[in-house]
Amino acid sequence: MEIDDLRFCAKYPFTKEAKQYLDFLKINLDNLDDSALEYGAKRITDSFLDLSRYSRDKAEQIRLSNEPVLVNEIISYPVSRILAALSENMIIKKKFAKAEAQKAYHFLQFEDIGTIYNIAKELFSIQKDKTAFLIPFQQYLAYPPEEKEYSLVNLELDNGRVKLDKEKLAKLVSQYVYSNIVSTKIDKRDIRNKMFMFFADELKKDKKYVVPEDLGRVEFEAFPPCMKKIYQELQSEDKVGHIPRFVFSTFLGGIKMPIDEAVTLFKNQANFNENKTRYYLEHSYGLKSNRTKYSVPACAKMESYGICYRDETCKWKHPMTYYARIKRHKK
Amino acid sequence: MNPAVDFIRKKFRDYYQKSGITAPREMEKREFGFGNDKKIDYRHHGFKDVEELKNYFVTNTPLYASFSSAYYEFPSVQPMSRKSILGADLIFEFDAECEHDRLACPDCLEKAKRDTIRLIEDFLVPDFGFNKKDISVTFSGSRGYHVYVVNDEVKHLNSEARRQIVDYVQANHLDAKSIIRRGATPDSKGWSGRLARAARDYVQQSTEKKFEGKGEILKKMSEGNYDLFKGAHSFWNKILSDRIVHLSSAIDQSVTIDISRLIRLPSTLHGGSSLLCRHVGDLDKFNPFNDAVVFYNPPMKVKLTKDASALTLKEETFGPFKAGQETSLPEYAALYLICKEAALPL
Repeated sequence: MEIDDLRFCAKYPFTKEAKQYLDFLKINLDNLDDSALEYGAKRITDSFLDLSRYSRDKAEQIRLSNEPVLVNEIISYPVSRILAALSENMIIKKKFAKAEAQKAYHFLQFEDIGTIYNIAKELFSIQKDKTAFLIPFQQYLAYPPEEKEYSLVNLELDNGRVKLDKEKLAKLVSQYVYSNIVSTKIDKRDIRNKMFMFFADELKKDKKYVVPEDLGRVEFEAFPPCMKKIYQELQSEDKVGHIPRFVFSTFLGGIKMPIDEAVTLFKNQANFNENKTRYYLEHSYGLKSNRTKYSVPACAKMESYGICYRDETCKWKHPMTYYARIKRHKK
Repeated sequence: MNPAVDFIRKKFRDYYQKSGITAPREMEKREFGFGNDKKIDYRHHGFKDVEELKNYFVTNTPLYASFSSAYYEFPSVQPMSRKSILGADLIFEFDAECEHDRLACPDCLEKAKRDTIRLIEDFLVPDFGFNKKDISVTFSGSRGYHVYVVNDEVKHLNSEARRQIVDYVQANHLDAKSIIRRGATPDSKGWSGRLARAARDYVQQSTEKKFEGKGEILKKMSEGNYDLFKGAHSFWNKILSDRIVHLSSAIDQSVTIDISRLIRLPSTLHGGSSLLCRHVGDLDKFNPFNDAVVFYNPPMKVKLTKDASALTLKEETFGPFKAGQETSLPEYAALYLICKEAALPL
């Protein structure tokens, strides 16, 4: 393979070309040596650094490196994806996915339209018209970027196809990279090379990067406006609807309020029943039945439920982020 | 609970015995829920075939019946996460918010019908490219309409994708200024075109001094040049709120987004009205107070339990009524009043 082709595969290790190259090398994950796995693990821990620095460093490395380094880059991508999946830690997966998505976006921005089109058409049923790209809205909505300008309502939609310019298509491809990494699932029983588990466990132990913030003692003053509002409504005798009650319960679970304490917040409701409330809270805390821990809905979802009471203090997209940031700021 | 629940149930049972139930598509993969006091008192039911479903109605005769928009491998298993979801239809619910204090409000239902038509004709077909044969409409039996889009492409849309679709038709988070900045013209598609056409119409009709020399301004606008409106937040907000009738209040977002929701089951009676939840073929011609009335003409006596406004059913007007009044009405009108808890059978 020509060095330029190798460079392409190193830049875009999720493409068909990169996979074909790995097939050509006859890479067998079961026989990978420790150094390859170590390289893969390092790729993940590097991604925990500043995001733009990760892209910049990778860009520099790929631009200047010779064949052996580029080959390592190509091999380490699937290795890292597997390690992130085996870690079963969403923080590791999301951080790594975000860094890889950012890296892909960084490179794509410097490509000509033809190259972006060739990469994107492997991933989506895409058409090219005179000035833009057209993609079925169902496929677009499988990987929608978060920013407001990428919301379907702010894009041109005609006859089932979303119109994207070069930059927006690059962003969509990078979002595909993100989702692909986050959704990777590996059955541990399929991994015969035990060193994969060793490195995945090492990643999990790396407290410096992956231990979630301990939010400490519950502070009502740090509640976001939506949760304060539900709390206040619960203090009256008026019946509070199922959705706000459930959302509030997930929030109490998120901030780790002890169940005994949480039960008392519902006691002013006219139809209060302690046993039922306790059962209900245990369910939403993930302590019952199938032990599903329900997550607190993001602000967008709160808005669609009609229980978002955003004010000027809301600078984040998630009630939990609001709580954690305000609480930290108060310290 | 409605004090005449036993009477209503008997009438409903007679109806189901005679007319049966139409099974929804892939009924064995649907979850069903039923209610007498509330719309859904119990859920997580599953049925193998239409015969089993009909028997349930004849035996138990719930006042309200719903089914899932989702398809499940194990529809009757609990909790939800163990049902193993296979996909879901895309559904929009239009509910008429009536503030007219009427027992039957044709005006509000007519508005809901117009909104339903707009959703289909202005959004689902031209923008989303859905084939009309994949779209169907049902009357809910009470206050509104349900629009179903059923095909393999929508089946696997997740909740976030459905939220974006409902945001699209309701113009939620629409950034008018940046859309216009991209150079939208009246010929543009989607919201770009809607905004550009509304702005053009506004300028055409305006007598404001700043729009003097309209010809030149309109020519520029038709080329996507909106320099005159630079920084004019209020202009675009005004265009959006005054000129563009969007569907923000009409659609119940949560029905579209939440794929675990249960929806009124077509071919069943609504316990709050006695009207039939039914498929609507020609929406334009559909009149719920005529076409969804299924009970019969023989008169029966009722006693009014509260004052009630006049109502028109099957093109005949009854009332207004006074509390305590005893009167003889055709069965369908009497049942309507009884289901509305405005009368009791004598």
